[in-house]
Amino acid sequence: MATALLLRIRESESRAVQKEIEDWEAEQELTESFGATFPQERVLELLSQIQTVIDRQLLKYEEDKHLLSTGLLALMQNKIHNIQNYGESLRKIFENNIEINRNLQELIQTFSSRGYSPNRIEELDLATGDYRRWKEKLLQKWPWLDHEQLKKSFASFERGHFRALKDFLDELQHPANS
Amino acid sequence: MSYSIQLTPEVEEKIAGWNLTKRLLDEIRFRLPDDLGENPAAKLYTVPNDPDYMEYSFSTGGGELDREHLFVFRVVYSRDRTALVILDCDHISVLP
Repeated sequence: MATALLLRIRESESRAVQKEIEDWEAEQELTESFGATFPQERVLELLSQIQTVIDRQLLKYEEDKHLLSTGLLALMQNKIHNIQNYGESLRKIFENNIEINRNLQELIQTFSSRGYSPNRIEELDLATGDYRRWKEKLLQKWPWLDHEQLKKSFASFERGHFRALKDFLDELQHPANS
Repeated sequence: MSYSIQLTPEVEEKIAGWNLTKRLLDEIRFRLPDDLGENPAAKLYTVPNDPDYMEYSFSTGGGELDREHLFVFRVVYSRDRTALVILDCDHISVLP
């Protein structure tokens, strides 16, 4: 239960960061649409805010790494009774952070091209790579509900095509006797 | 009241494709009827947003290469409510 709550908090946090980045982008676009550039003072202020977000993203990356390993452990110990939703929450967290980091990297490039560079960019790149790998692994390995399979199987059930587990296992384990 | 456990051909195909060891097949052979079939109300979980299906899962360690195994089964009651029909299943195995 605590992990499920943590997952929801992480989802909402990443949405807040995303909004912050979108606001900066909108400010930048608005400024450029007037043919103006940010004054030096505002650039330094933004740079400091971006650095704060990078540091926060890296802290959350460590927390998410822990969340993933805790989640996998709980899954393998059969302690998750809402497998689909749990997997969905993890997927959303990974996707949100991939998107946030991608937007951050675009902003960083804009600043770098003007001679300003925040710290810990390489760490952010590595974290983004990990989020991508985690998402891929999650999509491949997590026991997701397969609606197509369920539909097909349900149709067999409706037609009366099913048999006892014992009969199937007897046949599978001792094919010569069947 | 105990419920018999039934499988559709799609589930049979999936389980056969896992190429499980005898020990793991025996786990399925005994866990499903004894654990799930004897008291499904206590063992089945509804799937949020998919109320048509219920879920039963169990994990087991040891065995081949000391891997941990998780089995997940998606289940419905038969129309006469004397059997549980497995419609889909999943198996994950990892090194602890």
